[in-house]
Parts: sequence; structure tokens; C-alpha cells
Amino acid sequence: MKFTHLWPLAFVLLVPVIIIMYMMKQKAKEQKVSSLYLWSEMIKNDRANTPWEKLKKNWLMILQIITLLVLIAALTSPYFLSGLVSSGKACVVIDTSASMNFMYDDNQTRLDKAKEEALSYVRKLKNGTEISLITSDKSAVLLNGKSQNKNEIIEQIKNLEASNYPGDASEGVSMAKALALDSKGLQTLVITDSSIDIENLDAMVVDVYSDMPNVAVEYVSHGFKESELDVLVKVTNFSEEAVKRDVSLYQGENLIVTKEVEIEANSSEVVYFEDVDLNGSVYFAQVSGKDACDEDNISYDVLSDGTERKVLLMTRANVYLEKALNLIPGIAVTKSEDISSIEDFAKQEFDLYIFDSLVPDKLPKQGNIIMFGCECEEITQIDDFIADGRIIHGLESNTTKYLDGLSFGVANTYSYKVPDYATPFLATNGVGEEEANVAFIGEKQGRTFAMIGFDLHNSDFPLYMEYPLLMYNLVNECVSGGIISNYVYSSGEAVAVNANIEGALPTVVKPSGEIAELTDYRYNYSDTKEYGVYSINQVVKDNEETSTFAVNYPISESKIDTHPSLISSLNENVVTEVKGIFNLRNFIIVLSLILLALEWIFSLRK
Amino acid sequence: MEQIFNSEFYEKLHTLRMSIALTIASGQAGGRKSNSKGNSVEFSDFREYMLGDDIRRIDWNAYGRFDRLFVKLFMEEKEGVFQIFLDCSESMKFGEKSKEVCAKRIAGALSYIVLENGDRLFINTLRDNHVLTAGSYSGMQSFIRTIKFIEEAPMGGSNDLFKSVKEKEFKNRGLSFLITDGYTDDLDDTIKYLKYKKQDVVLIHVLSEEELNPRYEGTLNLIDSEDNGDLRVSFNATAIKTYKDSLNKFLTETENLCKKYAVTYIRVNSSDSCDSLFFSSLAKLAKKV
Repeated sequence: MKFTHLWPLAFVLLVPVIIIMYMMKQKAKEQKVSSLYLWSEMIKNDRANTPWEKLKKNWLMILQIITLLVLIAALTSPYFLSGLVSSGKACVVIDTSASMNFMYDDNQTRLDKAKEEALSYVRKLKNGTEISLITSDKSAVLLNGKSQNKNEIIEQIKNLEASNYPGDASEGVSMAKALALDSKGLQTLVITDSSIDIENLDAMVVDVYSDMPNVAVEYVSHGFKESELDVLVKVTNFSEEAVKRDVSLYQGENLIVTKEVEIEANSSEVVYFEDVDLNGSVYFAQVSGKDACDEDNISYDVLSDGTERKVLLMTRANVYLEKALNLIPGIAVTKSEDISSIEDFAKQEFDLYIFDSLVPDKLPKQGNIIMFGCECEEITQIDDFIADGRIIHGLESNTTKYLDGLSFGVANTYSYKVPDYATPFLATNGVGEEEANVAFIGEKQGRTFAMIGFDLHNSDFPLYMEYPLLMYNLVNECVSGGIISNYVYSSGEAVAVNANIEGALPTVVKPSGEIAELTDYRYNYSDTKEYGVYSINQVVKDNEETSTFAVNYPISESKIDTHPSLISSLNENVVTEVKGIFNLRNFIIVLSLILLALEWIFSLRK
Repeated sequence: MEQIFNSEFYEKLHTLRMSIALTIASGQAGGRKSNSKGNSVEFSDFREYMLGDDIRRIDWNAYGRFDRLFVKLFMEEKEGVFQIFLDCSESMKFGEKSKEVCAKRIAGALSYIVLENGDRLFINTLRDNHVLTAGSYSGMQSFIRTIKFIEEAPMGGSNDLFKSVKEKEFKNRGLSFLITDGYTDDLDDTIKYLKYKKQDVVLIHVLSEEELNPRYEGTLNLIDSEDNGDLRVSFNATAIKTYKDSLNKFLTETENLCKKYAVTYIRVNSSDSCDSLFFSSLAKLAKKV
């Protein structure tokens, strides 16, 4: 027998409360007697009578305690994980996301435990039951549909491996819901380590989450200070105890520098390495010590190639923009306020043109473009001009990466119709409940266009610490001119490859050495399952151009805040919800009602 | 409260014909045979003439036969003096069938017997450490007054049995009925005092069913009806046993005390019926005499 919830066990604390209340109740009634003459002997007796003895044979109290315990038992929803699937149709959804590689206990990973649970369930199913097997991470895969061959399913479960991708069982549950539409009475077993919504699905969830100590490198980033390389490493301790660890930078096999850091429980520390001496462009940070997941102890970073990009800033006067651009390494900024001479400037073939509230009659024919507070029909049409003050918030995108909770105010702003090729990254509440996109970025025919609907002067955004970071991301997305625009990815993220169409089709060399040839010059390369350093090679006019990028562990998988049941022990799985499984709760509730009736009879008799 | 002297009571009284013969040495001339020999019509014995005897009582026929002077002795008929001491403390009100009703019925019945025999009766109520005496009653014509006094005697407050009895002045020998529940340490002194005052004593020990067989449950705060003292008792089998042990000890000690001072002891359960009261308890008294 297993329990759906363990939290009701906390109510056991009420048992002493009942006993104490009964002890207090002992004071009770007054009884007049003719004389205490004969009762004087009782004084000794009364003194000898401890409170515990008084409780002896107090049937009412015993019944109440039993009733309470039975109700607690009902709340825990005990169940038998039996193979009694009445409909004869079962579906097993197993979470195979990267977090399933975490250790469940000292001997097995969460995936091992999930496989064990799945096997135990499948083996108990009656022969002839139609079984579907789904794995789920960032997407769901139907490994087997409606198979009556239990052995085949068992073999498939045994061969399951975690995918390294971020995600949870939700994709699998969606697929199971779709299957359930087709097969009436389908009963689903979901095995996962993160919280899952199984509404409208006849399912039970087995929680394989376990709280094992873990320390991870959340991210590594770098900056140049007068050609000196500074590296920043954020290390997070996800354990309940403070730990002392070494954080080291490696280049290949070579240790470059190491620092010791002490991290409080459930908190992060940022470690700075100044003036780091690197020979190549790829390095990684590693935190020492063995924990629940070793993959998240390493995080790669890639230095972009050193060529300086030319940026033209057309503005009347915007100290905020100038300051932000000065901070960005690898760009040379030319400033002008003479919009009429844009054609002359365009001849110099700038990599990036930034128009701050100035719109040229005609946009340059090459180069990337960023516009602030402008209306430019060549790029897109405006949707609205919002004249009243608004709060702008960040949308999830590459541009707003690491800027969670971005929010600032603007006095007025344009909102744009986002072109098909572009992604919005800033928005505000528009008319009604719809969001109005006030900034977007996108790539069209090898050029990147970005529009921000407001003038920075009309906003408090430059006062926020996120401002320079967003500017950095924005400019970086526009001026990266290599085959790839980003150099660091999380497993599962697609790498946008933008190869020179004059060369051969590019190839990708995975960390394992495996080579994959891309089928197009513009390609979203999504096979980023392996962690480590990848290289993209393209032969252009007999020259081989190589770009390097790194794939890190998806750090979101290290931070599972909500798992199916908040109380979980290593030896016991917790089912969050049980429908259609042999659930004992109703029987226990009936039992508690009988007990309540008994108690009522007892109290009446008294 | 239950009517004390109801029709059932009077009915039983008429069937009650008991003669309680007692040795009375002094008192008014009455219908009771005295152990004293004296002037009466009922012959008792002869004895030789002594100087000072009334020569009118010399049996001349005997002189003729024995040639000696004999004096005829006659039983002197004297009036018996009866005292009824009724404990009127608060504790006597206790019991579902209250001890008060029972005690007053007994007092009423005894009054009937005494008055019917032509004896003299005093009713003494003991309350608040004082004695209140009514009487003397004599003859059946005073029975109604006796009954009225008993019925209206107020009950309540605390009472020290010995103190209140000591207030009573005794003029003659007589017989004292002491009707009480006996919850006092001075019962010994009280009996001794009555004996000292040349009283034959009959102790009528009235207890209620609740006192003899308490049926309490749970934890109770027992309050003394007289002095409001309290005692917290958790009732269980052990507690009840402890109480019964002390009750038995109390009863045995009281009985032994009575034996020691030749006191007639009658125990009455206030929940007993009138029948049982009259024909068992009071008949027991009659048998003894």
C-alpha cells in the first residue's frame, strides 16, 4: 500500500491535543454530597490518581483518537498500485528530461527509479492490456502505442535513457490526453520529478523527486577590460546546507585558475576571475565535489572572435545610448546627428546602424538596423501610439536572456505589428487584455532589424541595471556576423546557423566527434543533446571557416521548485492524484463515519 | 418535597401495635408498668413488714396463716418519658429519597407509639448547635400537634450533635431516640452524655441509598452540603471500593459503639418503603424490648 499525500500526517499532532483537552475536561462537574466525612479517605486515592490513569477506559476519547487517525489516513489517500485496469487500456508516461539524471538515492538516478516503478506497474497489468509508452522532455515521443506485448514494453522501458533536454512530463501528458480521446477508459501512470497538471486525465502521478544535495554552475560570462579578460562564474547551492567548493577555470585539460567559495544553503555566489590568461576561445568553469548531478557542475563559455564591428549611431543627443554602447566590447561607434547624410555613411558599410528618434528617408541597403522611438514603414507598420504612461515588461527571448522580471516605465511609446520573421522582446498592456509589442528583433535576408518603440529619454529604463545588459544583448544579436550569432547554448536549444551561401554546406562536429552535415545554409540546428563544445565548419572559396559554440546543461533542470508532492521520502513514492486506481480513501471515509456514529451513541449513553 | 405524613403513613400507623416496654423508674403516673413497686391495683409480690410501711397494706390473711406480718406489694404504674432527638442538619436533606422524610416519618411513628401508650413525649430538633424542644406531649389528643411540629421542623445548616444535645436538660430517667446520619466525630460523646443523663438510648441511623451505594462516574468535585468543603474525586472501581471500605468501617464502628454502651442500634435506608420501615426497622426495636 502506498500513500498519495504524506502531509496529512502532520495532523497526528492533534492526538496530544485531544488527550490534553480530555485531561482538562476532568475538572468538570460539581456534585453535592451530604458530607465529606466518608470521602476523606479518597484524598489519598485522588492524589495517587495520575492524569494518565484518569484517561483509562475513556472510550469516548479513544474513539475520537481512532476517528482522527482514520480521517488522517483518508487524507493520505492510500492506494494499491494494482494492475486492475478495468478498461484494459493503460498508458505510461515517463519524464526523460535532464533532471531525471539526478541521483534519486545513493545507488540510482531518478530515471532508474522511474523505470523500476514503470516496470513494476506494467508487470502487474493483466495480460492483454493495451499499453502505450510515452517519453517526455521538451517534446513527447510515443515509443509504443497500444501494444499488448508486455515483454516488448518492458524491454523498451529498460532501455530508456534521459535525454539531457530540459522539460517535464507535460508534453507526455498532452499526448496521453490525445490518446485518451481515442481510447475510452485509458488509465495513465505518469512518472516524473516535477509538478504536473493531469486535469481531465484519468491518471496517477508517481513522484520520483528526491532532495539530494546539489551544487551547479549557473552561468559563466566574460568581459574585456582593456584587453584583459575577466570571467564571472555564478555558482548556486541547491542544498539545505552550506558548502565549501572550489571553482576552477579550465581550458581543455589545463587548469587555469581556481578559487574556493563558500555558498550558503539555497543561495548563489558569484566568483570573479580577473585578468585570465587564455590561449583559445573555449574554456569552462567547474565546481568541485560530487553531488546529485555532475553534469551541471560544468559550464562552457566561448569567446567571440576579436574582429571589431562598425556601428553608426544617428542621434541628436543620447548620453544613455552612448554610454551603453561604450561598454560593449568589440564595436567601434561612430556618432552623427546629420540624418540627411546617411547615404554617405552607408557607403562605409557599417555593420550596424542605430537610429535614435531619427528616421532616414531610405534605409541603408546593407547592415543591421536598430531603431529607437521611430516609425519606419520600410520595416513594419506601427500598431498604435500609446500616449499614456505604461509599464513595459520583458518577454522571453534571446535579447532578454538573464533579465528575468524586467519591468520599467515609459511616458509614451509606439507599439508595432511584429513582422513574421521577428520576435517581440518588450511589451506592455494594450487595449483590453491584449499585449502590445513595443520592441522586436528579427532577421530578414541575412540582416537583423530591431525596433524599440520608445525614446530612452521618455523612460526610466536607463536607471535600471538591466539596461546595459539588454543593450549588450541587442547589439550582439545585430553585429555578430559569423556563422552563428550566439556561442553558448543550453541543451535542447536550437542553434541558428547562418552560413555563407557562397560556400559549401556547413558541417557540425559534435563533442563526441560525430559529424553532421547541415542541409541548408540557414538552419536551426537542434541536435544539441550532448554537452560540450561543438564546431561548425564551412568551406568558402577553399578557405575553411570555423565557428565554435558550447552546449551546457539546462540549468532550469537543476531548479525544480515544485514536484508532485512536497513531502517525499527516499523509499516511498508519492502519488499526487489517483483516479480509477484501487483507492482506499472512500472505504476509510465510510469507516470514519461508522466511528463517528459509535462515538455519538457512546456520548448519548454517557 | 414529598409529603412526609401522607395517608399511607397513617394507615400503617393504625396497624402498628407495638408495645415498647421499658424500665422506667420515675415520672408521672401513667399507663406504663414501672419496676418500682408502689400504689397500684396490680399485685406484684409480698415482703415482710418493715417499720414505716403503710399498715393498711398488711395482708392479714397471711398473718393468720404464717403468724408473721407480710406486706402486699403492688406494681406502681408510671408514665414513661420519651425523648426524640431529630438531627436537622443540612446533610439530612440529602438523597433522592431524602433522609429528612425518612427521619421525620420515623419520629412520627415513634410519637404515635409513645402517645398511644399514654406516655410523655418530648420532641427535640437539633440544628445550628442548638436544641429546640417541643412538648411535653401526652395522650393521643396531642398526636396531631406532635406531627405538625415534626413536619414543620426546618432542616439546614450545620450542626454539632454533641453541642446541641448538651443543651438539653433532662429531669427524669427516660428513653431517648436519637435519629441522625451520624456524620460526626462526637457520636461517642453524645451517647455517653445521654447515658450519663440516665437515658436509655436508641440510635436510629438514617442513611440514603446514595450514601450506601454511590453511583458516580467521571471526575467530580464533591461539595460538602454543610460546610461547603470540596474534594475532587475521579470515580473508578478503585475509588468506589475505597469509599465502601470507609463506609463499612464507619458502620462497624458505630455498631460497636452502640454495643459498648448498650444502645439499641437500628440502621435505616431512606429509600426503603414505609412497610419495611415500620415492620422491619421499628419491629426490630419492639423485639429487643
